[in-house]
Amino acid sequence: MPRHRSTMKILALLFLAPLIWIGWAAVLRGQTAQKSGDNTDSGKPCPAQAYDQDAAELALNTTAMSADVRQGYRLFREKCGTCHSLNQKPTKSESSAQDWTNMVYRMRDMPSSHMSDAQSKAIVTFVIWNADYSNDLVKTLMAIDHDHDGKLSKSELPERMQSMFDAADTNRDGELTPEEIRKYAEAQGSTAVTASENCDPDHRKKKS
Amino acid sequence: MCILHRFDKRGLLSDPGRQERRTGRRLLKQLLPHLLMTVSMFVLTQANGEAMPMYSRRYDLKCSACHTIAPVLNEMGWMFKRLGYHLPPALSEGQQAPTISELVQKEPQWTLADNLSIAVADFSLQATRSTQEGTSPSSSSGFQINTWNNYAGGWLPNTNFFYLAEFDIITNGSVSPTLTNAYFGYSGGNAKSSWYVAGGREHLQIGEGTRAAEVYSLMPASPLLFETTSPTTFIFDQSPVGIDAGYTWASDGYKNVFAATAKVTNGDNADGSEILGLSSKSSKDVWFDADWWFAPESGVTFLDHYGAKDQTQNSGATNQFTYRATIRRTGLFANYMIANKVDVLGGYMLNKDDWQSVAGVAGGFFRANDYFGEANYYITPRLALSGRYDLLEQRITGGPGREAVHQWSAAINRTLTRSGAVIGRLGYSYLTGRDPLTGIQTTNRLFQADVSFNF
Repeated sequence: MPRHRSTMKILALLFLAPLIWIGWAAVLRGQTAQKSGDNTDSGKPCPAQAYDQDAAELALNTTAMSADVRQGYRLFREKCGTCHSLNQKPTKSESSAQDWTNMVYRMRDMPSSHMSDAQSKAIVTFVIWNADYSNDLVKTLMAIDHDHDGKLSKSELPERMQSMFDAADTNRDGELTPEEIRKYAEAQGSTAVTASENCDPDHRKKKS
Repeated sequence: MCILHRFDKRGLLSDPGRQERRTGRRLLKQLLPHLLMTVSMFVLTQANGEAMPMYSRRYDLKCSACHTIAPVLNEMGWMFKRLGYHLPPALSEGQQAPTISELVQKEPQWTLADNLSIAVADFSLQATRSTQEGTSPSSSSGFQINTWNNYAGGWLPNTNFFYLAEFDIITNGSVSPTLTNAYFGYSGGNAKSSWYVAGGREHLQIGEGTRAAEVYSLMPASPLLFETTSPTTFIFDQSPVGIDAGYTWASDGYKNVFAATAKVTNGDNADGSEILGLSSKSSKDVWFDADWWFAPESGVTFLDHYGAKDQTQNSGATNQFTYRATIRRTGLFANYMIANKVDVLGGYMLNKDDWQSVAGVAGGFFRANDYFGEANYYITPRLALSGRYDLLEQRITGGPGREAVHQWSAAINRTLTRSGAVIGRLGYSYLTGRDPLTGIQTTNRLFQADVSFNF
């Protein structure tokens, strides 16, 4: 039955084609992730964003993160996102750093966690950073870094927030770094930080 | 016969009337009540936007908490069952492990929705081509509902008792409602040193055994050594009635986990079906399993089965006779997960059964060596490429000699939702070999594309 034989060949081809395509795409994705991971200050998506799992979940702007936090963020998505949905803000933002540390290390000690001590430590760094009240303004503002250069120029800020620019730009270079914003937020006090009505406090949720 | 049986299980070759039964009013009549019930239960049990199976709903966890890609269990899922369907706690160094009773107290409030999965279904496109010496090649293809199973499982509120029931409505494309698992048990001890006893109808291998010994796989079919029916009509993939007991020990952080399980079951009828009620068979079958998880997602399993069953020879002929055959299975399985990306699995099982081809002439045997090697590459936790090779060497007294069956399989599995509840799969298998009794060669090719829903 030559007809059937050719049908089987076509089906085998249909099977092999996506196999090759998926494999090739994975290789390319791995290369992209490697490149963006090496260039930690480029403002490009971190490896976690190139990572296919939960692409829409907790898609934070990484330009506000230091290299350590970014590494923790990648591991947080990879490890914690395996079991938990990440589409929520931390519900224990009032918890202490010790609480977060205990929680992460407790997860490390569960079966199938696949977390080493070093990875747990990196994740702790991120979750504390993420839950840290004073980072809210940094995260919110860096989300509007349209040119993704890791800095905010005055023109990128909403008009109603431009009054804070001069106060925050301590080195007078015409650009705000995440560190400058953080220092400004700390100087203003946490109440003032979260009361930044000019920004969308739910930006992260809407983005995801 | 072994090869054909595998394709019988897929419902493609041996029953030409099946195609008709699958279509038309009869099918609709059979399925309609189940369909209505499923839709209504689906509406009742889905609190969130995304449908989730029962255990995921209960703990608000993704499927990947307990599965690599469903239905393949990871160590967490395996521990979940060993602890009487309770979530394993963290075993931190220096901290006392909670008792099972304490785990029970931490369970969410019991709800029907969290203890019921009403649509674990698999829709597939299958195409096969089969050739056999002495007959014309045959081919078939079509869409079908491959499986549709319902599950009820959990614990009795505020007690250490647990239960699981599996009601299969469609199996291998055929409507055949069967209660394939229905057991009840009690677990005790603590999370580091726990035990359980259970009784009822329970699959021989579900939830026992490390990864390589799981009856589930990412392939369209489980390994030959579980799926193949021997000439004595014994198959490892079965759910006998019996009682079983297990003990589990875990170290800090689950770095090492040891477990042992023993089952005593009724065994099989002469046709290979499980003895579900009373029978005149005086002996029982015994099954033993020892597991060791030695590294993350990596383990070794030894298992042994010893039993006896009536074997009918020359069925329907004037020289038909029945004898009591001893059935033995001994297996060793291992897997190693490299960097949480590449899972390498292998297994071996020795089959040795009594065999009589002439009435009253004892001393014959059926002996088989089953091997398989498999590799699963998890490109991401949601996407896996898999390949496997199975070899089954069989020899039987009075037969043509040593005959071998080879099977090559490949598959792509991809979860289609973030929770992991919907999975798409492409699978291909090529199987060829000779029957140990007749020496006739059969070759089968199978292509399967399916989507499974777990709600």
